[in-house]
Amino acid sequence: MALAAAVPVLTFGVSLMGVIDRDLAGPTLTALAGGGAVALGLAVLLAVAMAHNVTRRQVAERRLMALEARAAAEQRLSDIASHFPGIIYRRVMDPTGRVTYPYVSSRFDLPLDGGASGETTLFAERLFHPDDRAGWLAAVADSARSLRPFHCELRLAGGERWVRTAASPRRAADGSVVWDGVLFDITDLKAAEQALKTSLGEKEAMLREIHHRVRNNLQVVASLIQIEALHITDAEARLRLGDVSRRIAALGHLHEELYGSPDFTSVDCGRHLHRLSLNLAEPRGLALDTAMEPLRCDLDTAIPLGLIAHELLHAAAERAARQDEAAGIAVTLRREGESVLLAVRGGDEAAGLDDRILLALAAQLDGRLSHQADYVLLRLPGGRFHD
Amino acid sequence: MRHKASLLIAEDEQIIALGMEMLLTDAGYDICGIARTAPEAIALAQEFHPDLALLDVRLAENTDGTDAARALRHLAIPSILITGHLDALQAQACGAFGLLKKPYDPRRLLQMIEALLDWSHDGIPPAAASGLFVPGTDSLRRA
Repeated sequence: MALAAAVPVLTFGVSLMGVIDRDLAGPTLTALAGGGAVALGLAVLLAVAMAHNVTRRQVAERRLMALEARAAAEQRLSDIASHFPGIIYRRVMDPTGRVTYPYVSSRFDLPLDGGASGETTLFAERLFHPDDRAGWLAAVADSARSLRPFHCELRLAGGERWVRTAASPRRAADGSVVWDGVLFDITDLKAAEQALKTSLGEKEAMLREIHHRVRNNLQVVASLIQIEALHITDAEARLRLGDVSRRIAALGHLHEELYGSPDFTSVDCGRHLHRLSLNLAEPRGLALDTAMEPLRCDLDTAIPLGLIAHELLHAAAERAARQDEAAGIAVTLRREGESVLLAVRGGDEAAGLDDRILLALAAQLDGRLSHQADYVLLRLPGGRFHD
Repeated sequence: MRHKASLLIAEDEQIIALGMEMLLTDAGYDICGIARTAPEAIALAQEFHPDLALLDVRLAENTDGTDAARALRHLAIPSILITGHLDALQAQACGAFGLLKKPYDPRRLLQMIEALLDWSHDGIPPAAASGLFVPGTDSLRRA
């Protein structure tokens, strides 16, 4: 390139010497001009050559810098891998199905065997717990077929340590499947999970115990009342105390409904009232006609509502049994506009519970008791219920 | 109401046992014994051969009324479990003929006892409304 630049200059210089009129310029000037041109050419040659050398040096320097940068990047990656709280690995399955691990960061003390090529081979048969090997192999096989990532949680051989591994596959040009993955020790996480399960189990056991105690205590109260009632000779008074026992049983059913609910804070009113109706109709051999919408409410509503409903239903059942009514008991619970309506046919003879108590319970619910034809109606604010 | 039928009670909560005893005595039944544990219930049953047993499930000394129900079934003594612990399937699986949840309605208890005695003594099958479990081919008839 330098020569390519210098040649025209030199040529010009030589030409110039031929062109200059020696007679006019004199021999000295002629020589000077020609020499100057040659010198200029040489200078150009030198400059270009120097520039070329600079360029090569710069290229070399750039190559060196790139190499240094690459080495630095590799060192950084190696540092990250060595400090990574887990293992980074590459798994390769060639088209024949042979599996190798060309890269495994060595943070864990895993049983690794060096292959002849320096590649590392992990044997699932030795690495993982016998009970978990099949699951891991199946996950990897599925990943190889579908080229979708796999995720596994499994125990290491010995059973003391848990690991989680995930890897993403891709198909290489030679048909191999290459996974790049990570593996973490999750032993502490599993221990925390187990502690949580144990705690949950203990709490469930405690809840069952509380449920049992509540039911038993309600029975103790009911039994105390029964014992007192049996000492009383006055029939009306015994009947009244019997009614109290019956109401305690109704509260027990409500508690049963609460225990069966998913969140222990609300009850399915429709289901509860249906069961109440059934418990009153069946022993008396009465027909039962219920139409209950699946309305849930919290305990603040369920308890007074349950007591009111029980009184109305009991009165209806007693009347139907006395009068041998083929129609039996009819009860409805449904939304009506902004309200929820409970309607009980024949419930108007709820003389067992003092009207003042019924009215007080209805008022507690911001509700209104009324009569319509053969029905007693309890209208409640719809906001107390949810689906 | 069956006059002077003999009943066995298994209940470790004394107030509940007393209330039940008084209720049943007032209704005309004999109470052959009140057991606090399942082995005690089985022993009383073997000794007195009651017509029917009323068994709580959680009894004293960590004993289980369902064990007593199974044993009494072998003695051809029908039982009703009175508890909040089990569901109908579980109660039926251990050989009981009825399940009543606490706190029970006294009238309901008396109805179940009457229906079960009618069935075991006179072969009158209980109505579906009785709350009793209707077995397949098992017979409770006493010789």
